[in-house]
Amino acid sequence: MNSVIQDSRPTVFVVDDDASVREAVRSLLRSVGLSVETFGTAQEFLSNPRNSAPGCLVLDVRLPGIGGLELQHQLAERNLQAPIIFITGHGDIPMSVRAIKAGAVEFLTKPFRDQDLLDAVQQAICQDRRAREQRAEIAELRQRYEGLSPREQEVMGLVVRGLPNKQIAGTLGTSEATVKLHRARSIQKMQAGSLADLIRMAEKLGTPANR
Amino acid sequence: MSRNINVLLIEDNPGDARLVCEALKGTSDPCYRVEWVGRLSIGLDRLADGGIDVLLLDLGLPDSQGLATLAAVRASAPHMPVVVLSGAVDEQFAVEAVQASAQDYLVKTYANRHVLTRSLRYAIERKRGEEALRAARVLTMGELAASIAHEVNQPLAAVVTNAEAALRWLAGDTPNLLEAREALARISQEGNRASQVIRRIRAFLKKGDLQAAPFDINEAIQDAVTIARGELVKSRVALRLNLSSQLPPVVGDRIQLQQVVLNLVMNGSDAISSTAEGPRELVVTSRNVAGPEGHPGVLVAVRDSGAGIKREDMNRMFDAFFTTKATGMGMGLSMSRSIVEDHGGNLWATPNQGQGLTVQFTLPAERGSSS
Repeated sequence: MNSVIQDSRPTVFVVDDDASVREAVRSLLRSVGLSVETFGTAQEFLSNPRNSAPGCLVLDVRLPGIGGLELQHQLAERNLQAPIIFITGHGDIPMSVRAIKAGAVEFLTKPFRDQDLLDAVQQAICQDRRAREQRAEIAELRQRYEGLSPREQEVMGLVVRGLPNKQIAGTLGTSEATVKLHRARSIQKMQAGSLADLIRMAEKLGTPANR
Repeated sequence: MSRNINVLLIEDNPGDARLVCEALKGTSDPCYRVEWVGRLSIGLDRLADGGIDVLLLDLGLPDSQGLATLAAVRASAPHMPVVVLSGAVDEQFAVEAVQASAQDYLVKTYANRHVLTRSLRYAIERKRGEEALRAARVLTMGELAASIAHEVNQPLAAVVTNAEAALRWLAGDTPNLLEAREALARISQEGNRASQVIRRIRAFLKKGDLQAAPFDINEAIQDAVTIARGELVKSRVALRLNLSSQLPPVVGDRIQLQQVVLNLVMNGSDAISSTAEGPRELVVTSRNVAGPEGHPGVLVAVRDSGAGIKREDMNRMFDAFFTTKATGMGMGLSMSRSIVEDHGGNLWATPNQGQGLTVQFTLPAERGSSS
Protein backbone atom coordinates (compact mmCIF):
# COMPACT_ATOMS: atom_id res chain seq x y z
CA MET A 1 0.00 0.00 0.00
CA ASN A 2 1.81 3.06 -1.21
CA SER A 3 0.41 6.26 0.14
CA VAL A 4 0.29 9.04 -2.39
CA ILE A 5 1.52 12.50 -1.60
CA GLN A 6 0.59 15.01 -4.23
CA ASP A 7 2.06 18.37 -5.14
CA SER A 8 5.70 19.44 -4.71
CA ARG A 9 6.72 16.06 -3.29
CA PRO A 10 7.69 16.65 0.33
CA THR A 11 11.07 15.31 1.48
CA VAL A 12 11.81 13.53 4.74
CA PHE A 13 15.25 14.60 5.98
CA VAL A 14 16.80 11.95 8.21
CA VAL A 15 19.72 12.95 10.47
CA ASP A 16 21.35 10.07 12.37
CA ASP A 17 25.05 9.41 12.92
CA ASP A 18 24.54 5.65 12.79
CA ALA A 19 24.69 4.65 9.12
CA SER A 20 22.77 1.42 9.68
CA VAL A 21 19.84 3.14 11.38
CA ARG A 22 19.90 5.80 8.68
CA GLU A 23 19.73 3.24 5.87
CA ALA A 24 16.97 1.28 7.60
CA VAL A 25 14.84 4.38 8.13
CA ARG A 26 15.45 5.50 4.56
CA SER A 27 14.32 2.13 3.23
CA LEU A 28 11.22 2.09 5.42
CA LEU A 29 10.15 5.58 4.35
CA ARG A 30 10.85 4.90 0.67
CA SER A 31 8.80 1.70 0.85
CA VAL A 32 5.69 3.84 1.33
CA GLY A 33 6.63 6.15 -1.51
CA LEU A 34 8.22 9.01 0.41
CA SER A 35 11.25 10.82 -0.88
CA VAL A 36 14.14 10.74 1.60
CA GLU A 37 17.48 12.48 2.10
CA THR A 38 19.90 11.37 4.82
CA PHE A 39 22.65 13.10 6.78
CA GLY A 40 25.22 11.91 9.33
CA THR A 41 25.52 15.14 11.28
CA ALA A 42 23.50 18.25 12.07
CA GLN A 43 26.22 20.31 10.40
CA GLU A 44 25.78 18.41 7.14
CA PHE A 45 22.06 19.06 7.23
CA LEU A 46 22.48 22.76 8.04
CA SER A 47 24.84 23.31 5.13
CA ASN A 48 22.51 21.55 2.69
CA PRO A 49 20.84 24.14 0.45
CA ARG A 50 17.62 22.11 0.28
CA ASN A 51 17.11 22.11 4.03
CA SER A 52 14.17 24.49 3.83
CA ALA A 53 12.28 22.37 1.27
CA PRO A 54 8.75 21.19 2.14
CA GLY A 55 8.66 18.11 4.33
CA CYS A 56 9.84 17.14 7.79
CA LEU A 57 12.82 16.02 9.83
CA VAL A 58 13.56 12.71 11.51
CA LEU A 59 16.27 13.53 14.01
CA ASP A 60 18.44 11.44 16.31
CA VAL A 61 18.80 13.09 19.71
CA ARG A 62 22.39 12.06 20.26
CA LEU A 63 24.47 13.39 17.40
CA PRO A 64 28.18 14.18 17.36
CA GLY A 65 28.84 17.93 17.50
CA ILE A 66 25.51 19.71 17.42
CA GLY A 67 22.99 17.42 19.16
CA GLY A 68 19.42 16.87 18.02
CA LEU A 69 17.82 19.17 20.59
CA GLU A 70 20.37 21.88 19.84
CA LEU A 71 19.66 21.54 16.11
CA GLN A 72 15.94 21.98 16.85
CA HIS A 73 16.82 25.18 18.68
CA GLN A 74 19.09 26.46 15.90
CA LEU A 75 16.52 25.74 13.20
CA ALA A 76 13.92 27.72 15.14
CA GLU A 77 16.38 30.61 15.39
CA ARG A 78 16.98 30.51 11.65
CA ASN A 79 13.23 30.46 11.10
CA LEU A 80 13.38 27.06 9.45
CA GLN A 81 10.14 25.58 10.66
CA ALA A 82 10.12 22.01 9.40
CA PRO A 83 8.28 19.77 11.89
CA ILE A 84 10.61 17.42 13.77
CA ILE A 85 10.25 13.79 14.84
CA PHE A 86 12.89 12.69 17.33
CA ILE A 87 14.23 9.18 17.50
CA THR A 88 16.49 8.17 20.35
CA GLY A 89 18.22 5.14 21.77
CA HIS A 90 18.06 6.38 25.33
CA GLY A 91 14.99 8.51 25.71
CA ASP A 92 14.25 9.89 29.11
CA ILE A 93 11.08 11.68 30.02
CA PRO A 94 12.49 15.15 30.79
CA MET A 95 14.29 15.13 27.45
CA SER A 96 11.17 14.21 25.52
CA VAL A 97 9.14 16.81 27.40
CA ARG A 98 11.69 19.43 26.44
CA ALA A 99 11.60 18.37 22.80
CA ILE A 100 7.81 18.30 22.60
CA LYS A 101 7.50 21.65 24.36
CA ALA A 102 9.85 23.10 21.77
CA GLY A 103 7.44 21.93 19.08
CA ALA A 104 8.49 18.40 18.16
CA VAL A 105 5.75 16.29 16.57
CA GLU A 106 6.78 13.01 18.19
CA PHE A 107 9.49 11.45 20.31
CA LEU A 108 10.15 7.78 19.50
CA THR A 109 12.47 5.40 21.31
CA LYS A 110 14.55 3.00 19.22
CA PRO A 111 13.55 0.43 18.26
CA PHE A 112 10.23 1.99 17.33
CA ARG A 113 7.19 0.46 15.60
CA ASP A 114 7.26 1.21 11.87
CA GLN A 115 3.65 2.39 11.92
CA ASP A 116 4.43 4.86 14.72
CA LEU A 117 7.17 6.47 12.64
CA LEU A 118 5.08 6.49 9.46
CA ASP A 119 2.10 8.01 11.26
CA ALA A 120 4.30 10.67 12.80
CA VAL A 121 5.88 11.44 9.42
CA GLN A 122 2.47 11.79 7.74
CA GLN A 123 1.30 14.05 10.53
CA ALA A 124 4.46 16.14 10.28
CA ILE A 125 4.15 16.51 6.51
CA CYS A 126 0.50 17.62 6.81
CA GLN A 127 1.49 20.06 9.52
CA ASP A 128 4.26 21.46 7.33
CA ARG A 129 1.91 21.80 4.35
CA ARG A 130 -0.70 23.62 6.42
CA ALA A 131 1.93 25.94 7.89
CA ARG A 132 3.28 26.74 4.45
CA GLU A 133 -0.21 27.46 3.07
CA GLN A 134 -0.89 29.70 6.02
CA ARG A 135 2.37 31.58 5.60
CA ALA A 136 1.66 32.02 1.89
CA GLU A 137 -1.86 33.30 2.62
CA ILE A 138 -0.60 35.79 5.17
CA ALA A 139 2.11 36.98 2.80
CA GLU A 140 -0.58 37.52 0.13
CA LEU A 141 -2.82 39.41 2.57
CA ARG A 142 0.08 41.53 3.71
CA GLN A 143 0.82 42.48 0.13
CA ARG A 144 -2.79 43.52 -0.41
CA TYR A 145 -2.79 45.44 2.85
CA GLU A 146 0.33 47.31 1.85
CA GLY A 147 -1.49 48.34 -1.34
CA LEU A 148 -3.91 50.36 0.80
CA SER A 149 -3.30 54.07 1.31
CA PRO A 150 -2.42 55.11 4.87
CA ARG A 151 -5.91 56.58 5.34
CA GLU A 152 -7.55 53.41 4.01
CA GLN A 153 -5.47 51.36 6.45
CA GLU A 154 -6.59 53.64 9.25
CA VAL A 155 -10.25 53.31 8.31
CA MET A 156 -9.93 49.54 7.93
CA GLY A 157 -8.39 49.34 11.41
CA LEU A 158 -11.38 51.13 12.92
CA VAL A 159 -13.95 49.28 10.82
CA VAL A 160 -12.73 45.88 11.93
CA ARG A 161 -12.93 47.05 15.53
CA GLY A 162 -16.63 47.39 14.95
CA LEU A 163 -16.91 51.19 14.96
CA PRO A 164 -19.83 52.70 12.96
CA ASN A 165 -18.96 55.05 10.09
CA LYS A 166 -20.17 58.08 11.99
CA GLN A 167 -17.84 57.43 14.89
CA ILE A 168 -14.93 56.69 12.58
CA ALA A 169 -15.55 60.01 10.85
CA GLY A 170 -15.50 61.69 14.25
CA THR A 171 -12.31 59.97 15.30
CA LEU A 172 -10.49 60.83 12.09
CA GLY A 173 -12.00 64.28 11.78
CA THR A 174 -13.51 63.71 8.36
CA SER A 175 -16.92 63.33 6.77
CA GLU A 176 -19.00 60.19 6.88
CA ALA A 177 -19.10 60.07 3.09
CA THR A 178 -15.31 59.98 2.90
CA VAL A 179 -15.20 57.18 5.46
CA LYS A 180 -17.73 55.23 3.37
CA LEU A 181 -15.52 55.65 0.34
CA HIS A 182 -12.35 54.52 2.13
CA ARG A 183 -14.22 51.66 3.65
CA ALA A 184 -15.46 50.44 0.26
CA ARG A 185 -12.01 50.82 -1.25
CA SER A 186 -10.27 48.90 1.52
CA ILE A 187 -12.78 46.06 1.19
CA GLN A 188 -12.27 46.03 -2.53
CA LYS A 189 -8.45 46.16 -2.41
CA MET A 190 -8.29 43.47 0.26
CA GLN A 191 -10.60 41.40 -1.98
CA ALA A 192 -12.85 40.77 0.98
CA GLY A 193 -16.32 39.47 0.18
CA SER A 194 -17.93 41.02 3.20
CA LEU A 195 -17.22 42.88 6.42
CA ALA A 196 -16.91 39.52 8.23
CA ASP A 197 -14.33 38.48 5.68
CA LEU A 198 -12.39 41.69 6.24
CA ILE A 199 -12.37 41.12 10.00
CA ARG A 200 -11.00 37.60 9.52
CA MET A 201 -8.27 38.99 7.28
CA ALA A 202 -7.33 41.61 9.85
CA GLU A 203 -7.13 38.88 12.48
CA LYS A 204 -4.77 36.87 10.30
CA LEU A 205 -2.63 39.93 9.69
CA GLY A 206 -2.49 40.35 13.41
CA THR A 207 -1.75 43.96 14.07
CA PRO A 208 -3.76 46.76 12.51
CA ALA A 209 -7.08 46.10 14.23
CA ASN A 210 -5.50 46.54 17.63
CA ARG A 211 -3.82 49.84 17.03
CA MET B 1 61.10 25.24 11.65
CA SER B 2 58.43 27.51 13.00
CA ARG B 3 55.21 26.11 14.45
CA ASN B 4 51.80 27.71 14.01
CA ILE B 5 49.09 27.99 16.60
CA ASN B 6 45.76 28.92 15.06
CA VAL B 7 43.74 31.17 17.33
CA LEU B 8 40.07 31.91 16.76
CA LEU B 9 38.97 35.19 18.32
CA ILE B 10 35.25 35.68 18.88
CA GLU B 11 34.87 39.34 19.85
CA ASP B 12 32.28 41.89 18.77
CA ASN B 13 34.24 45.02 19.66
CA PRO B 14 36.51 45.86 16.70
CA GLY B 15 38.82 47.91 18.91
CA ASP B 16 39.43 45.05 21.31
CA ALA B 17 39.85 42.63 18.42
CA ARG B 18 42.45 44.90 16.84
CA LEU B 19 44.38 45.03 20.13
CA VAL B 20 44.58 41.25 20.27
CA CYS B 21 45.60 40.94 16.61
CA GLU B 22 48.27 43.60 17.08
CA ALA B 23 49.61 41.92 20.19
CA LEU B 24 50.03 38.59 18.42
CA LYS B 25 51.33 40.03 15.16
CA GLY B 26 54.80 38.85 14.20
CA THR B 27 55.05 36.16 16.87
CA SER B 28 57.27 33.28 15.87
CA ASP B 29 57.97 29.80 17.14
CA PRO B 30 55.21 29.34 17.78
CA CYS B 31 53.57 31.81 15.45
CA TYR B 32 50.07 32.76 16.62
CA ARG B 33 47.73 33.23 13.70
CA VAL B 34 44.52 34.98 14.64
CA GLU B 35 41.20 34.66 12.86
CA TRP B 36 38.61 37.12 14.07
CA VAL B 37 34.82 36.80 13.93
CA GLY B 38 32.24 39.04 15.56
CA ARG B 39 29.38 36.66 16.30
CA LEU B 40 29.07 33.40 18.17
CA SER B 41 27.14 31.66 15.38
CA ILE B 42 29.87 32.41 12.86
CA GLY B 43 32.50 31.36 15.38
CA LEU B 44 30.79 28.00 15.97
CA ASP B 45 30.62 27.37 12.24
CA ARG B 46 34.30 28.22 11.96
CA LEU B 47 35.18 25.85 14.84
CA ALA B 48 33.25 23.09 13.15
CA ASP B 49 35.37 23.51 10.03
CA GLY B 50 38.40 22.51 12.10
CA GLY B 51 42.01 23.66 12.20
CA ILE B 52 41.65 25.87 15.28
CA ASP B 53 43.98 25.16 18.22
CA VAL B 54 42.66 27.54 20.82
CA LEU B 55 39.71 29.88 21.25
CA LEU B 56 39.74 33.43 22.62
CA LEU B 57 36.17 34.13 23.63
CA ASP B 58 34.37 37.30 24.62
CA LEU B 59 31.28 36.27 26.60
CA GLY B 60 29.13 39.27 25.68
CA LEU B 61 28.29 38.91 22.00
CA PRO B 62 25.40 40.20 19.91
CA ASP B 63 23.92 36.70 19.61
CA SER B 64 24.81 35.30 23.03
CA GLN B 65 25.48 36.59 26.53
CA GLY B 66 27.41 35.43 29.57
CA LEU B 67 27.99 31.83 30.51
CA ALA B 68 25.50 30.69 27.86
CA THR B 69 28.14 31.70 25.31
CA LEU B 70 30.62 29.31 26.86
CA ALA B 71 28.00 26.59 27.15
CA ALA B 72 27.23 26.91 23.44
CA VAL B 73 30.92 26.58 22.60
CA ARG B 74 31.23 23.53 24.85
CA ALA B 75 28.20 21.93 23.26
CA SER B 76 29.69 22.02 19.80
CA ALA B 77 33.42 21.95 20.60
CA PRO B 78 33.90 20.05 23.87
CA HIS B 79 37.62 19.53 23.35
CA MET B 80 38.59 23.09 22.41
CA PRO B 81 40.89 24.98 24.79
CA VAL B 82 39.13 28.24 25.69
CA VAL B 83 40.47 31.50 27.11
CA VAL B 84 37.74 33.89 28.15
CA LEU B 85 38.24 37.61 27.50
CA SER B 86 36.68 39.94 29.99
CA GLY B 87 36.49 43.61 30.74
CA ALA B 88 37.68 44.89 34.10
CA VAL B 89 34.09 45.20 35.36
CA ASP B 90 32.92 41.71 34.52
CA GLU B 91 35.96 39.85 35.78
CA GLN B 92 33.76 37.86 38.15
CA PHE B 93 31.98 36.34 35.14
CA ALA B 94 35.30 35.27 33.72
CA VAL B 95 36.20 33.53 36.96
CA GLU B 96 32.88 31.71 36.86
CA ALA B 97 33.61 30.74 33.28
CA VAL B 98 36.86 29.13 34.35
CA GLN B 99 35.01 27.33 37.10
CA ALA B 100 32.50 26.14 34.51
CA SER B 101 34.78 24.86 31.75
CA ALA B 102 37.12 27.53 30.36
CA GLN B 103 40.85 26.91 30.76
CA ASP B 104 41.87 30.49 31.57
CA TYR B 105 40.71 34.08 31.42
CA LEU B 106 42.24 37.43 30.57
CA VAL B 107 41.26 40.98 31.40
CA LYS B 108 41.38 42.75 28.03
CA THR B 109 43.18 45.87 29.19
CA TYR B 110 46.12 43.78 30.40
CA ALA B 111 46.31 41.60 27.34
CA ASN B 112 49.76 42.38 26.01
CA ARG B 113 51.77 39.97 23.91
CA HIS B 114 53.45 38.26 26.82
CA VAL B 115 50.28 37.75 28.83
CA LEU B 116 48.33 36.61 25.78
CA THR B 117 50.80 34.03 24.52
CA ARG B 118 51.38 32.68 28.02
CA SER B 119 47.66 32.29 28.57
CA LEU B 120 47.03 30.66 25.18
CA ARG B 121 49.79 28.10 25.68
CA TYR B 122 48.65 27.45 29.22
CA ALA B 123 45.07 26.87 28.04
CA ILE B 124 46.21 24.38 25.39
CA GLU B 125 48.33 22.46 27.91
CA ARG B 126 45.70 22.54 30.62
CA LYS B 127 43.02 21.26 28.27
CA ARG B 128 45.33 18.47 27.17
CA GLY B 129 45.83 17.50 30.81
CA GLU B 130 42.10 17.60 31.51
CA GLU B 131 41.35 15.40 28.55
CA ALA B 132 43.96 12.85 29.60
CA LEU B 133 42.47 12.76 33.09
CA ARG B 134 39.01 12.30 31.67
CA ALA B 135 40.10 9.43 29.45
CA ALA B 136 41.68 7.71 32.45
CA ARG B 137 38.59 8.17 34.57
CA VAL B 138 36.85 4.88 35.15
CA LEU B 139 33.26 4.51 34.09
CA THR B 140 30.73 3.91 36.82
CA MET B 141 28.86 0.64 36.45
CA GLY B 142 25.79 2.62 35.49
CA GLU B 143 27.63 4.41 32.71
CA LEU B 144 29.12 1.15 31.52
CA ALA B 145 25.75 -0.56 31.45
CA ALA B 146 24.17 2.41 29.67
CA SER B 147 26.85 2.44 27.01
CA ILE B 148 26.50 -1.31 26.48
CA ALA B 149 22.75 -0.87 26.17
CA HIS B 150 23.26 1.87 23.60
CA GLU B 151 25.81 -0.17 21.62
CA VAL B 152 23.46 -3.13 21.36
CA ASN B 153 20.33 -1.09 20.88
CA GLN B 154 21.53 0.66 17.73
CA PRO B 155 21.95 -2.50 15.61
CA LEU B 156 18.79 -3.89 17.18
CA ALA B 157 16.82 -0.82 16.10
CA ALA B 158 18.25 -1.16 12.60
CA VAL B 159 17.25 -4.84 12.48
CA VAL B 160 13.67 -4.08 13.49
CA THR B 161 13.27 -1.19 11.06
CA ASN B 162 14.88 -3.10 8.18
CA ALA B 163 12.61 -6.07 8.79
CA GLU B 164 9.54 -3.85 8.75
CA ALA B 165 10.79 -2.15 5.60
CA ALA B 166 11.33 -5.55 3.95
CA LEU B 167 7.78 -6.60 4.83
CA ARG B 168 6.46 -3.44 3.25
CA TRP B 169 8.57 -3.89 0.10
CA LEU B 170 7.15 -7.41 -0.21
CA ALA B 171 3.54 -6.41 0.38
CA GLY B 172 1.15 -5.26 -2.33
CA ASP B 173 0.55 -6.45 -5.88
CA THR B 174 4.03 -5.75 -7.20
CA PRO B 175 6.53 -6.65 -4.50
CA ASN B 176 9.90 -5.00 -4.87
CA LEU B 177 12.22 -7.96 -4.43
CA LEU B 178 15.42 -5.99 -4.96
CA GLU B 179 14.68 -3.57 -2.13
CA ALA B 180 13.49 -6.40 0.12
CA ARG B 181 16.68 -8.34 -0.54
CA GLU B 182 18.81 -5.33 0.37
CA ALA B 183 16.91 -4.82 3.59
CA LEU B 184 17.40 -8.48 4.48
CA ALA B 185 21.12 -8.25 3.78
CA ARG B 186 21.30 -5.29 6.18
CA ILE B 187 19.46 -7.33 8.82
CA SER B 188 22.05 -10.07 8.64
CA GLN B 189 24.85 -7.48 8.84
CA GLU B 190 23.34 -5.76 11.86
CA GLY B 191 22.74 -9.05 13.64
CA ASN B 192 26.43 -9.78 13.30
CA ARG B 193 27.30 -6.33 14.52
CA ALA B 194 25.22 -6.83 17.66
CA SER B 195 26.83 -10.15 18.40
CA GLN B 196 30.27 -8.59 17.95
CA VAL B 197 29.39 -6.00 20.57
CA ILE B 198 28.49 -8.82 22.95
CA ARG B 199 31.72 -10.61 22.16
CA ARG B 200 33.72 -7.47 22.90
CA ILE B 201 32.01 -7.08 26.27
CA ARG B 202 32.67 -10.73 27.13
CA ALA B 203 36.32 -10.31 26.26
CA PHE B 204 36.45 -7.15 28.34
CA LEU B 205 35.07 -8.94 31.38
CA LYS B 206 37.22 -12.04 31.03
CA LYS B 207 39.47 -13.11 33.89
CA GLY B 208 42.50 -13.28 31.64
CA ASP B 209 42.47 -9.53 31.27
CA LEU B 210 42.99 -8.93 34.98
CA GLN B 211 45.93 -6.78 35.82
CA ALA B 212 47.59 -8.29 38.85
CA ALA B 213 49.73 -5.90 40.85
CA PRO B 214 49.91 -5.18 44.56
CA PHE B 215 48.24 -1.97 45.64
CA ASP B 216 46.80 -0.18 48.63
CA ILE B 217 43.02 -0.68 48.76
CA ASN B 218 42.65 2.62 50.65
CA GLU B 219 43.98 4.50 47.64
CA ALA B 220 41.44 2.81 45.41
CA ILE B 221 38.72 3.79 47.89
CA GLN B 222 39.95 7.40 47.93
CA ASP B 223 39.90 7.53 44.13
CA ALA B 224 36.42 6.06 43.92
CA VAL B 225 35.17 8.54 46.49
CA THR B 226 36.71 11.43 44.57
CA ILE B 227 34.83 10.38 41.45
CA ALA B 228 31.58 10.03 43.40
CA ARG B 229 31.93 13.25 45.36
CA GLY B 230 29.95 15.45 42.97
CA GLU B 231 27.07 12.99 43.01
CA LEU B 232 27.14 12.76 46.81
CA VAL B 233 27.03 16.52 47.21
CA LYS B 234 24.14 16.74 44.77
CA SER B 235 22.21 14.10 46.70
CA ARG B 236 23.09 15.78 50.04
CA VAL B 237 24.74 12.64 51.35
CA ALA B 238 27.36 13.00 54.08
CA LEU B 239 30.30 10.69 53.54
CA ARG B 240 32.48 9.38 56.36
CA LEU B 241 35.68 7.43 55.70
CA ASN B 242 36.91 5.09 58.36
CA LEU B 243 40.04 3.62 56.83
CA SER B 244 42.59 1.58 58.73
CA SER B 245 46.16 2.67 58.16
CA GLN B 246 47.46 -0.82 59.05
CA LEU B 247 46.31 -2.68 55.94
CA PRO B 248 48.46 -5.08 53.94
CA PRO B 249 48.55 -4.56 50.18
CA VAL B 250 46.14 -6.59 48.07
CA VAL B 251 46.83 -8.02 44.62
CA GLY B 252 44.67 -7.49 41.58
CA ASP B 253 43.26 -5.05 39.08
CA ARG B 254 43.08 -1.76 40.87
CA ILE B 255 40.78 -0.13 38.30
CA GLN B 256 38.25 -2.96 38.54
CA LEU B 257 38.22 -2.93 42.32
CA GLN B 258 37.94 0.83 42.27
CA GLN B 259 34.85 0.34 40.10
CA VAL B 260 33.43 -2.03 42.69
CA VAL B 261 33.86 0.54 45.47
CA LEU B 262 32.48 3.29 43.26
CA ASN B 263 29.49 1.15 42.44
CA LEU B 264 28.77 0.39 46.10
CA VAL B 265 29.09 4.07 47.02
CA MET B 266 26.74 5.13 44.20
CA ASN B 267 24.25 2.43 45.20
CA GLY B 268 24.36 3.65 48.79
CA SER B 269 23.87 7.22 47.67
CA ASP B 270 20.90 6.21 45.49
CA ALA B 271 19.38 4.29 48.40
CA ILE B 272 19.66 7.34 50.65
CA SER B 273 18.28 9.63 47.94
CA SER B 274 15.15 7.51 47.66
CA THR B 275 14.32 7.98 51.33
CA ALA B 276 12.79 11.24 52.44
CA GLU B 277 13.66 11.28 56.11
CA GLY B 278 16.34 10.10 58.51
CA PRO B 279 20.08 10.66 58.50
CA ARG B 280 21.74 10.86 55.11
CA GLU B 281 24.99 9.20 55.93
CA LEU B 282 27.29 6.88 54.04
CA VAL B 283 30.23 5.26 55.83
CA VAL B 284 33.08 3.52 54.03
CA THR B 285 35.23 1.36 56.30
CA SER B 286 38.36 -0.67 55.65
CA ARG B 287 39.97 -3.02 58.17
CA ASN B 288 42.01 -6.17 58.62
CA VAL B 289 40.30 -9.52 58.59
CA ALA B 290 41.38 -13.11 58.78
CA GLY B 291 40.58 -14.97 55.58
CA PRO B 292 40.32 -18.71 54.89
CA GLU B 293 43.00 -20.81 56.63
CA GLY B 294 44.03 -17.83 58.67
CA HIS B 295 45.44 -16.03 55.66
CA PRO B 296 45.31 -12.28 56.28
CA GLY B 297 42.92 -10.17 54.24
CA VAL B 298 41.18 -6.82 54.11
CA LEU B 299 37.51 -6.00 54.42
CA VAL B 300 35.80 -3.02 52.82
CA ALA B 301 32.30 -2.11 53.97
CA VAL B 302 29.92 0.51 52.58
CA ARG B 303 27.16 1.28 55.03
CA ASP B 304 24.20 3.46 54.01
CA SER B 305 21.26 4.90 55.89
CA GLY B 306 18.85 4.28 53.04
CA ALA B 307 15.62 2.32 52.90
CA GLY B 308 17.39 -1.03 52.93
CA ILE B 309 16.11 -3.97 50.97
CA LYS B 310 13.12 -6.26 51.44
CA ARG B 311 13.84 -9.65 52.96
CA GLU B 312 12.51 -11.48 49.90
CA ASP B 313 14.85 -9.47 47.64
CA MET B 314 17.98 -10.27 49.66
CA ASN B 315 18.67 -13.43 47.70
CA ARG B 316 18.04 -11.90 44.32
CA MET B 317 19.95 -8.67 44.73
CA PHE B 318 23.12 -10.13 43.23
CA ASP B 319 21.35 -11.53 40.19
CA ALA B 320 22.05 -9.86 36.87
CA PHE B 321 19.23 -7.54 35.76
CA PHE B 322 17.69 -7.45 39.24
CA THR B 323 17.13 -3.86 40.31
CA THR B 324 14.99 -1.82 42.67
CA LYS B 325 15.86 1.47 40.99
CA ALA B 326 13.53 3.14 38.52
CA THR B 327 16.25 3.55 35.91
CA GLY B 328 18.71 0.85 36.98
CA MET B 329 20.01 -1.89 34.71
CA GLY B 330 20.60 -4.35 37.55
CA MET B 331 24.18 -5.00 36.49
CA GLY B 332 26.21 -3.26 39.19
CA LEU B 333 26.05 -5.72 42.08
CA SER B 334 26.30 -8.83 39.96
CA MET B 335 29.35 -7.46 38.15
CA SER B 336 30.85 -6.27 41.44
CA ARG B 337 30.44 -9.70 42.97
CA SER B 338 32.07 -11.45 40.03
CA ILE B 339 35.00 -9.01 40.07
CA VAL B 340 35.56 -9.57 43.79
CA GLU B 341 35.29 -13.34 43.41
CA ASP B 342 37.78 -13.25 40.54
CA HIS B 343 40.17 -11.68 43.05
CA GLY B 344 39.63 -14.52 45.51
CA GLY B 345 37.32 -12.54 47.77
CA ASN B 346 33.65 -12.49 48.77
CA LEU B 347 30.96 -9.85 48.50
CA TRP B 348 27.74 -9.89 50.49
CA ALA B 349 25.12 -7.63 52.05
CA THR B 350 23.62 -7.41 55.52
CA PRO B 351 20.75 -5.25 56.75
CA ASN B 352 21.82 -2.73 59.41
CA GLN B 353 20.57 -2.86 62.99
CA GLY B 354 18.76 0.42 62.53
CA GLN B 355 18.20 1.73 59.05
CA GLY B 356 19.79 0.84 55.74
CA LEU B 357 22.11 -1.73 54.32
CA THR B 358 25.79 -2.61 54.52
CA VAL B 359 27.47 -4.14 51.49
CA GLN B 360 30.96 -5.47 52.13
CA PHE B 361 33.67 -7.46 50.47
CA THR B 362 36.90 -9.16 51.46
CA LEU B 363 40.11 -9.53 49.52
CA PRO B 364 43.09 -11.71 50.41
CA ALA B 365 46.26 -9.84 51.28
CA GLU B 366 49.30 -10.22 49.07
CA ARG B 367 51.10 -13.49 49.91
CA GLY B 368 54.15 -12.90 52.00
CA SER B 369 53.14 -9.46 53.14
CA SER B 370 52.71 -8.88 56.86
CA SER B 371 50.40 -6.32 58.31
